Amino acid sequence: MINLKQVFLRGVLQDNPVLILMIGLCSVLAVSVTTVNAIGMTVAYSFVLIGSELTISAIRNVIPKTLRIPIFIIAIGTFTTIIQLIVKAYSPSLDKSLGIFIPLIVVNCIIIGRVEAFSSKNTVLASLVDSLGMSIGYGIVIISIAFIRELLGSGTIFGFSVYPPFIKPMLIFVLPPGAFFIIGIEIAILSAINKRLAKSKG
Amino acid sequence: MNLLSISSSPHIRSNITTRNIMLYVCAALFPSAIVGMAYYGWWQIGLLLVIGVLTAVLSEAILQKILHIPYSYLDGSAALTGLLLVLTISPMSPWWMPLIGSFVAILSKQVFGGMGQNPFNPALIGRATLLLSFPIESTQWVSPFTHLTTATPLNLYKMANFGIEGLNQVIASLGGTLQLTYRSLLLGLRGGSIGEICLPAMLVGFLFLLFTKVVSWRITCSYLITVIVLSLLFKLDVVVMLLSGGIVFGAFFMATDYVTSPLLPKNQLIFGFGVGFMNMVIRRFSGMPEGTTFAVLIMNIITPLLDQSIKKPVGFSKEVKQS
Repeated sequence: MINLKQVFLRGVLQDNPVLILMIGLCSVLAVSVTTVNAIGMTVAYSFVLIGSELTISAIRNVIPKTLRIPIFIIAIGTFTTIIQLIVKAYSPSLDKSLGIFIPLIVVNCIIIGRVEAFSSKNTVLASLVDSLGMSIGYGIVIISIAFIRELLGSGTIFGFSVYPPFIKPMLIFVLPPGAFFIIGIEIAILSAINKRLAKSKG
Repeated sequence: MNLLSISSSPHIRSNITTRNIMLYVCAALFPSAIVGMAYYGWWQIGLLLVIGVLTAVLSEAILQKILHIPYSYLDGSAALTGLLLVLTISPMSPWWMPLIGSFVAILSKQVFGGMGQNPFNPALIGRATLLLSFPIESTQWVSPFTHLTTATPLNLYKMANFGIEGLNQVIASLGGTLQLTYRSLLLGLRGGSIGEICLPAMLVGFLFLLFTKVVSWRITCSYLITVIVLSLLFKLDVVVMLLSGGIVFGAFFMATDYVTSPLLPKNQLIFGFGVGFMNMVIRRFSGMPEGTTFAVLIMNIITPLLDQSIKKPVGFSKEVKQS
């Protein structure tokens, strides 16, 4: 029997998709310029991840081994199309700022990786917990990166200016190098946390 | 019994310590710093220098405490980084620019493990961060003594694209009064960063470093020769190219940094060529007027690759091929 709590925590801490496995970095770097974009991306991403993990784990016993990758892609593509049309319909401005990165969720390594490695071998319940953990792990990282980048780079929080006029924001945090700096620092922090956790467990 | 003890290499030791080298380089930068202060105001530049050096030493101490790296903040390397950084920024920088720049420079060194582990020249990382973060404050150039706002000769060159007469025509058309001649470029009577303007001052420092064998001539020479050849090839004014930006300062003090440049003589020549090539390509074909910072940083990335060509222990004779 799989320990569900452990499955959930693994997605956030030990196997955090962005900071430990370091996959799916492209969307994290590109979308984390503003916090609003990052939250929108997290919602879209979680929808696709949860939907496709549930679907695949439900039909995992009837999928032929040789055809599994195309079937995974079809499931992921379906959910991506659904969320893309929803975002287009209800929030055109978010759609404009996220741009190509919503369709690109189809080829996001994290989702294919989790479907292949976890939900094609585990029960629906375990897959739900795993996808929730992975979504939260991804969300925490991208939203915190976006928050710091927005605060330091444009001097705003959720689009509202917070700096007194005599302090200049550092433009470099809006540019790609800034995203790499912050990802690097967060990787260091999470590694330190994980090391301490492993030590306390013995 | 101690006579028979066995230790691993290195066996040859000399009296040259990190602190000595850093002191020598600081001494070599001294003339440029003095000229910068004399040209742009003693208090203004002196304040920037003090802030830059103090911030560098302090942040090195703090970061070494946080990151559990053995303390070495007083060995002069941090002070040197701060000094180098301030000499490469604009003389009209507000006081917080060396503060941020020095901190970023030291951070970029410590996150890789401290002295000797950093892939990039710390001072240039600081400068690049300032340039990208505060593009307006970083590019406020003034002419010496008068402190009138002016463009650097390279900025003007982007507009004029022909020799020194063209530069003066552009200055006149912009309403400026500064007349550039080869002599004024040589003495540094132009807009530019604090330390990069006066060739004689830099030359004194560099010759001192060469004389004390702190740096080798290879990187500098191949860098400068590449720049000269490429300026001729691109049909640019060689003297203006050499004396109007940061090339000389970069070739003397930045590209020759021990940690971030290759070890073998042959690789040093390749490194110098690479920096010169990238520099001229950026100047000629990109939107930026100057590219020394980024040219050196780009070649710093390639340094480990160049050093990998050392396949066998240094000093061993070549294998004889038997056919």
